[in-house]
Amino acid sequence: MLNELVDAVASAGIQVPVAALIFGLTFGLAPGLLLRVIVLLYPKGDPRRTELFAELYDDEGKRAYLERVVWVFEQLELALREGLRLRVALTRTARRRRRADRREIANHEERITAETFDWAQAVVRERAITFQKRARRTKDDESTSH
Amino acid sequence: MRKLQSYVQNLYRLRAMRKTHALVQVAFALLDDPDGRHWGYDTSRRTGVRAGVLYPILARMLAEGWLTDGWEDPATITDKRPPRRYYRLTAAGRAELGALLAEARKSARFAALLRVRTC
Repeated sequence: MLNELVDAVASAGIQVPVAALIFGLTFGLAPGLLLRVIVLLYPKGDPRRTELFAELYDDEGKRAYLERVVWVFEQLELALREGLRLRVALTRTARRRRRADRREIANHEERITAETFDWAQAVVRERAITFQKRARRTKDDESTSH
Repeated sequence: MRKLQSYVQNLYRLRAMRKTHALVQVAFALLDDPDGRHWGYDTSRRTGVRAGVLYPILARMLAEGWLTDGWEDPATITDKRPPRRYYRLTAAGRAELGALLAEARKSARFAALLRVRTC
């Protein structure tokens, strides 16, 4: 048990700096790439996707390196607050619309069923009336012949 | 695309804009050059307002009709970068933000901010 714990700590001890190095390299060397991933939080077609990406390369060279990294971090915050919220709202609306469509279809089917039932009842009623009339007529005929 | 934009505008129009320090600072920056084009990053740097706060404010102003937006002409770009989005004040925006600043000047809440701006 203790050995396993020591092993886990020892392996984490190597993994943590490696992860930090990868994180640092990603943020440091490829902020554009990271920003491309971040803006994906915005729904498709949102102008903010292009806007934020273009702003990263605004006055390129003049902006300090650290400032650019901070900028990318800020965009992550913005995308989580704005983009994710939009995405959730859009998904909710789409789901609601789909449900409403389904309900409409169900209502349509119900309406057709009801209409068919009314029509069938009317047919049955008419047939019954015709049958009764015919039966009465035959009874009358029989009585006159006797 | 247009559908999404109108949806976003409606989403932002749901709540009335609160008068915050950030809003007053952005109003100052926009009214510094009322006829000019304003860029997101540049405005953020000039006002000291974080991007996470600035862009929702700009989106709200767009929804209210105080700003119009557009994209830089790619032919005018000399560096290797995509065209940026700019914001421009409308007549309504100029009037509304002017009124907002007039109110802020009277309010004690923004006194410290205005002192810094006038220095």
